[in-house]
Amino acid sequence: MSSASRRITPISGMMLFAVVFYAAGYILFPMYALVKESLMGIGQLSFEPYRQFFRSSLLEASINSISISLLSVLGSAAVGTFFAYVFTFFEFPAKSFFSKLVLVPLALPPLVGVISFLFLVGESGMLSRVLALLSGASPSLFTVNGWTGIVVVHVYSFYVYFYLFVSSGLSQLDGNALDASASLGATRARTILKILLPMLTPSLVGASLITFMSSMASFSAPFLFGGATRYLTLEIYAAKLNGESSSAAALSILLLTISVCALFFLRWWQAHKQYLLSSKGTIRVSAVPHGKLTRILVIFSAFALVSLFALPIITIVAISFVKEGSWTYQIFPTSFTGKNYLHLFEEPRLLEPLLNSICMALVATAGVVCLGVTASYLINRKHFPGRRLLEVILSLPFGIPGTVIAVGLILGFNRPSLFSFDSILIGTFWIMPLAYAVRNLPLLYRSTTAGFEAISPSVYEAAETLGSSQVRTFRKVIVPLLLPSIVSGALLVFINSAGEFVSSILLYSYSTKPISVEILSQLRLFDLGVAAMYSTLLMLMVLAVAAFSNRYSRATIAT
Amino acid sequence: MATVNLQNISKTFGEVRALSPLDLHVKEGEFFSLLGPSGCGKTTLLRIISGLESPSSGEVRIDGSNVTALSPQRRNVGIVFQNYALFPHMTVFQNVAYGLEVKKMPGSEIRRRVEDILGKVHLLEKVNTPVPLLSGGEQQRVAVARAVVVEPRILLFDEPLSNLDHALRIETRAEIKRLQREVGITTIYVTHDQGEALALSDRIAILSKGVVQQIGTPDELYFHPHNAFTASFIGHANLFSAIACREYFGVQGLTESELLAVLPEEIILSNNSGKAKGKISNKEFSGSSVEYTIDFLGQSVKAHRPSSEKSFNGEIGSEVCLSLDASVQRKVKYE
Repeated sequence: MSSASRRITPISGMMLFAVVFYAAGYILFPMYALVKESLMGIGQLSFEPYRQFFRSSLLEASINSISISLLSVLGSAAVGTFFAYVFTFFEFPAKSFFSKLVLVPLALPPLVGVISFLFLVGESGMLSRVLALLSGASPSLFTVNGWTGIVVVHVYSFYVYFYLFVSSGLSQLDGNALDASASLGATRARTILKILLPMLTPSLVGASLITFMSSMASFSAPFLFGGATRYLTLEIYAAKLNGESSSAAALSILLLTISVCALFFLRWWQAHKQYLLSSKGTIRVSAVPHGKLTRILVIFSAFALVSLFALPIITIVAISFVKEGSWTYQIFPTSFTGKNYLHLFEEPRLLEPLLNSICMALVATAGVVCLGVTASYLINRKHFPGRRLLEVILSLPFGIPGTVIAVGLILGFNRPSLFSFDSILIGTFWIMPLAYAVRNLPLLYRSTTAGFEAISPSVYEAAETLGSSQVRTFRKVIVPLLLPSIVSGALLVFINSAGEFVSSILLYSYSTKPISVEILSQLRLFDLGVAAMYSTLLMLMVLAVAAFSNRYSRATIAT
Repeated sequence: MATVNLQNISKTFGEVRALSPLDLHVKEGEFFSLLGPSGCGKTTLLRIISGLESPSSGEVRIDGSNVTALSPQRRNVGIVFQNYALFPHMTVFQNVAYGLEVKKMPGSEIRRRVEDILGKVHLLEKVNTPVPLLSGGEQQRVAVARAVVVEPRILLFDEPLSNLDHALRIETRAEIKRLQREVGITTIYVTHDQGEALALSDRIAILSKGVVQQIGTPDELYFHPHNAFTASFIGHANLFSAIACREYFGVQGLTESELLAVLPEEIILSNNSGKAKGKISNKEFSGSSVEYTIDFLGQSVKAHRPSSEKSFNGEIGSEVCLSLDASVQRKVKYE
């Protein structure tokens, strides 16, 4: 592409202004508001909010957060890597079906996942009661809460990162390297330890960091499952509810620092530690031969685990059909009805949260698509000072916990400012779509940028030598080539926004209650059927979108 | 140094027969090639010899002892893979030393042997370089060093030169030959490039569709092919039917199931009038010879004439008369 077409024109100048305005106003400004509140909250400069970190309760929260996150990484690594290994190296019946089942936790909005565990192994969980009945022991032996509860839910939600990273690492791995090791006389254990694991290190480190960041940012699991366990995200939430803005701000900055450090380390690692040797070897199932007994054992335990992982979903769907107030002391619900779903259409009060969420998610998605594609185009195809910095700022929210983003937005927009066009955003409809947009823009930015990177520069050059103008090239060449990446990114943004809970619970107002907060309210009212019904609807939405996205990408590849 | 004996070896993958039962005998210190188009089963055969794949039937014997049930770890066989299969997280030294460490050799001995072999493949100055930073040719030589350093009983090559460019291929091919002579190791070499096989091998087995077509020295295969496949694959020979031979070239005595295999350099071209008339459809100058393609009875005939030969000069599109050297009597079986 010629250097002339990389120059900023008046049109792209206006686009750039919009992107910079967004980055400054909705990413940097809220962070500035956080810092300012934490230092100046009481009217004068004070480090008191930071000093309280060393108070025992907050110290405990920090230590809990970090330790639970590390345990979650270990647990997720064990489960996810095990699945990746089994699905790569073993052949067994119904493999493709099971390989889809393994991905199920991806389709669960975090809150729904936590609730399903509550129904299963919570205080009066079904699984706990069944196990108690079978063994004759007290049900409390089989319920999990506190530390174990949080870690179990985290492993369930996050092992997929390891599964995906390690699977893709294995698929890119040169199977001949394993054969070479075997032919040089190495035992299977040695080959796995000295060749396979080191070659997978990039995948393992990537997955570990993402799992760690997700665990640190986790809110639903400690909120609903933690019991009295102190957790950083919970402390921020509590401080905000108690009106202690400056300590909420200081805690947010602490959490933000940890997460952003992890994010930068991840970036650095990905840039520097990838092996350059990309021989396209394919791995053979026979690459690491296993004995018959190991095969049977391994496949059996994989079956068992996968089935166990499907249980939460089955539970939620089943409970969504439970008649209101009919399920109390029995182990299993006794009477089922479709009423929960019918009520949805009879009582506008019930339908409202669903419509609210869809509406706000659509607004957020539209905004993210406009800004994200523009930003990706400018950063990838134009030369201007501060390009890399802008990219870093735009991707930053990927590493920021939702709780912190929400507190930042509250502190930034609870009074009129330039970026809120001189009005107060808190309490209005707009604050939640804004939060969703800020949280999810990095997703779309990344998928679009990946699309840009896949387009060879010679494509632009070909268009230019054929006499196509820049605008025409953009419309007729770039957009069609990018469309699949944009659509898949946008669908992901929509799904995430529709089920968003973490920042919603801090930002919602009664008139714009989203579905996730409504689920929580119904849970508190012990209207389990309705809560499960909403959760099921969210899952169906995810499934529908995933199915569409699958078909769409297949259709576009075919053309 | 070892012999390799394959008895009645076959392999089926599910429904697909990759190798029909075959016997093969490789002599001590021999450079033996398995040559055939892709999908002919040559890599499968190599993997069976190495133990990475087990045969559906038959026995693999190395030095007379049956190793069919032995895992690759215990066969003491060196392999050089098509994509080198180096360990990307290690340096040159670590890669080459890996097999010696597995044998729990003392460190000083490992260092001595690794440096010795790296000297032989001219990589001593790269000893501590991470392998991803090496060029393709260098990676190839590390792969050879890693396989040879453990002093395997036999050395297997799986299309080791196919990822290199033409000039490097010729150079590396000579290196491999030199190293094999120096070490004197029994070598089995898989390739689809007939030029490579002819240049390197003591003997060659030609494979097609999982069946051994012919085994012989390069000279035998080139001048005395048994069947049509070998003739056209090794020498790019032109194949003429019994009728065409009788009618146009005056060659008698072919049965219906036989063809006459005529090498491109055995076809004589002239501007005379004669029975066998064809039309030049392409002409390429390749330095030492001029390579003609001639439409003859709907068949595409290749004829190579020395470029020093001035008696004939035909242009694309012009008519030409074909005749054969009287000594050509190479009858081959119709597949």
